[in-house]
Amino acid sequence: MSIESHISFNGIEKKYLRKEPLFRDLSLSIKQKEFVFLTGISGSGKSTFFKLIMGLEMPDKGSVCFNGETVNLIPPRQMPYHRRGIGIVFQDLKLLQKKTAYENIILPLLIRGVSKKQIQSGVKRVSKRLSIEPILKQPVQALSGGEQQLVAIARATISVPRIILADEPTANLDQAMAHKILETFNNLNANGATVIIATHDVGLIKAYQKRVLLIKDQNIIDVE
Amino acid sequence: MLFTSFKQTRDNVRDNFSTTFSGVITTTISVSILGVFILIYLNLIHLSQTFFQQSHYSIFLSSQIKDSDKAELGERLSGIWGIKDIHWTSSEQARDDLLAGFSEAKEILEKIDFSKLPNIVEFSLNRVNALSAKELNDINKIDGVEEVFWGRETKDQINLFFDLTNFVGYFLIGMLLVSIFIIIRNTIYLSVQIRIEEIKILNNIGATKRFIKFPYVLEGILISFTGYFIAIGVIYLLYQFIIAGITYDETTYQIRGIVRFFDWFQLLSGLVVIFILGVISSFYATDKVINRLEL
Repeated sequence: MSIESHISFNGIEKKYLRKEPLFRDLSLSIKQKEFVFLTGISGSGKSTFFKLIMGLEMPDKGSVCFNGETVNLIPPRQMPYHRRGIGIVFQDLKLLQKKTAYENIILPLLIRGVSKKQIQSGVKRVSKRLSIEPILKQPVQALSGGEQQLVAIARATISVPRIILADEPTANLDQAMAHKILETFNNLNANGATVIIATHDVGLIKAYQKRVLLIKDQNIIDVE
Repeated sequence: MLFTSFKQTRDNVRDNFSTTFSGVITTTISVSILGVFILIYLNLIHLSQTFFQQSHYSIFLSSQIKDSDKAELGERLSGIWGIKDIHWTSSEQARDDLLAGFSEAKEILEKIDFSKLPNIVEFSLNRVNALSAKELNDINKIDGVEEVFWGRETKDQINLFFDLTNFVGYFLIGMLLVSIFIIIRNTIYLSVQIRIEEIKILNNIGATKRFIKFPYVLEGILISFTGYFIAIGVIYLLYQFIIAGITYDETTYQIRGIVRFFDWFQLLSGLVVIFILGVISSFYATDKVINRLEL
């Protein structure tokens, strides 16, 4: 792992029960403040790639390093603190449907026990950036898919994480909304966050001219 | 964290009201049964102490007992813990009392040879246990003591009754405490089950197990406290109703002053026990689900 690298996968092997391995001897590194697209066919292991970084899945072989720390060696009691350093947008968003957009967005701050004042300034910042002020008080289940996507991004970014993982953040969105969301990630990246976006959208990948990682044949290759 | 957890608990109760409500009701019923049983038991002990355990003893002395032996007996009795109202009655005193009480039969009574009547020492014992074998033996060893008479059989029977009641009581108390534990555990277990997705989300964004568990533990405490206070209210009303019934019955009127409700210390002890039960059972239920999720 180079000094500059933020995330590194070293000889990773990962397979699920009674299935072919998703990754075999996977090694790669992602630098700090990099913007990376991760692509591949459905079921190729994009979500598992994120889960390995978050410590939600453990590799069968090899190690995942994040900020100089080996993720698969983090004790269970310390794992929540590791996850707090990562902002994640899940493919299925994983929002609390009965709660309001505001209540969902502030969750990462609540679990940190930050003050009410800091929470309010955090909400103000992310809601302004994502233009979601009018929907803050609405329950998530009443919001459109695009609005829910924005709420999920707001939740992932409110704690100003050093890395943002987004799993298919533009799926089922129209082009205008997709570009709006990508612009948001671009801005976050410009402000110093490492961003990894898993997507199928080739048009989007081409439009942004960033580093592209392709999951193929149980490995990940850099695509020019 | 506390404020967030309270809010979460409130949401849990609101979203899952019927389960929480049935948990409270069943806890109330269990605590009520337990409370009534303990109250009856406490009153039985209290009544038995009041009526029976202040045992009355009589020591029959020889008519030729020496003064020095009398003095030794007096000294021995005053050294016994819980002894009170020591009353000496000589044969002469007994005769005088009898003559004074039955003046119309004076002529007949004067013909009786009172010297054959024993001297008697009477006393009460104000303690839970009767005189021990050693204490009785020490008294019997004194020259001039002919017999120590007391209602030993009654006392032994009462003690046996309490020994049996204790056994049944501890068993019943144990069973009811276990049932309260199971009721709260199951209620919280259902509450956690409904929120598995929510728990997973919290875990994914970095919530500690403590943060996840705390609202459910609070819910367990809420159920146990609510059940406890309602049960105490019900028992108190029942107690008042019974006391009112006793008041209007002349034959049992005197008992009214003796029948007791729980004192503050007992109520507080009950609250501590129910608090511990609420915490342990909800903690257990939450832990079980979280461990299964392998968070």
